[in-house]
Amino acid sequence: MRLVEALLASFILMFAITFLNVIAVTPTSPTYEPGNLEKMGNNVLHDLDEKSLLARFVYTEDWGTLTLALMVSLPPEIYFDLTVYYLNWTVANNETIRYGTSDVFENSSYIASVTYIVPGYQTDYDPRILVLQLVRR
Amino acid sequence: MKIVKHKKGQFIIFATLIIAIMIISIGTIMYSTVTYFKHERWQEYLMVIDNVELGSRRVVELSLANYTMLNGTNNQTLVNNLNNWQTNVTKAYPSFGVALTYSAANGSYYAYGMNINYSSGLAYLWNNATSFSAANATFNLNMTSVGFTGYKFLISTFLKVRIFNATWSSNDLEIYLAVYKEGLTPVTNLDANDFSIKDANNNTISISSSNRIHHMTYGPIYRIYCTNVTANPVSAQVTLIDARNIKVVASSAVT
Repeated sequence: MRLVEALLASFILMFAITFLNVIAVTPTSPTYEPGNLEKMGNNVLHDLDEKSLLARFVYTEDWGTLTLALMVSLPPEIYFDLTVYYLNWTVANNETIRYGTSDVFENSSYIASVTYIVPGYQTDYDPRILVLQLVRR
Repeated sequence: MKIVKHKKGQFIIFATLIIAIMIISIGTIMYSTVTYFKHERWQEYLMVIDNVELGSRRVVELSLANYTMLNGTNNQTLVNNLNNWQTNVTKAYPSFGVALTYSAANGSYYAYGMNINYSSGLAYLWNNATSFSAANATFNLNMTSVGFTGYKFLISTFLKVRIFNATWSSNDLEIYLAVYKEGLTPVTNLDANDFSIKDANNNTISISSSNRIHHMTYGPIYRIYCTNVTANPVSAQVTLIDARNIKVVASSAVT
């Protein structure tokens, strides 16, 4: 009878797979998630800045278009909340720049945060600091 | 009842053990690789470097825009803005210990096929057939939190207008010119609103149309067309303001 050997072999394989599952870092795990989201958020802000769109939206206070630009640039399962600050850390945006409800951010275990600085617009040096928070749905 | 021993059963366990060892080994290697890169935060350092470099480029561009819009009256614009930028960039990335230093170009440099005489990182030469505005600064970036030092980058911003030909006949004025930016890359996204024209008496000549054509030698050039120019303007002064708000004023005799 090879039943005992087959059972033993199954246990060994089960143990190996379970062990691997415990230590593996999957794309949705807390170890991987914030870093990946930060990279994504930074890339989006950087791309918008390179196209000279970010400064235009921020300094003309076109928060609605900025929200749309972030929505189309980020994958649909990513919620975001952007706050624009003056250099003294007072809030510059009088409207929320957000995709997703506030409780998504309050209840989420993992929130990635990206800080980005825009030095000015057209001929004026007047920096704004952007803080972008990201959560995966 | 006699128990029958099968020797092939041990082979199954042996093979399974080898497979299990392989699975665990591959898993361990993957784990150590991922955690190594996580702990080192390479991506974050690269992001900060990229952001500081792009931000510095923007500071140089807007300083040149400010300088040229004020017709070169304040050549301390770039130095003042860069001094502020040095301080402000540390506020945006406090945990990285970012330390940015700069050196604004001074004196004569040969670049883009011409001599550029910088003063505090800024230069302009206007009212010629070939006119330009330029800015130049070298930066040094350190990140003290990780012992990263000596990352140098040069930012050169440049806008040049070259008038090839300006002719007046039958009340029509026609100007052919080329526009280049840093790296002598042709600027191809301009339209009639980006140009303005004045005659020798400083009267504005309205532009009827402008279009881009391809020249065999010079590549993409602009043809600016003005109708109802009743008298010969003698000279044409072309002012260009590009998408970065950098201004150049070029001038040429009208034939």
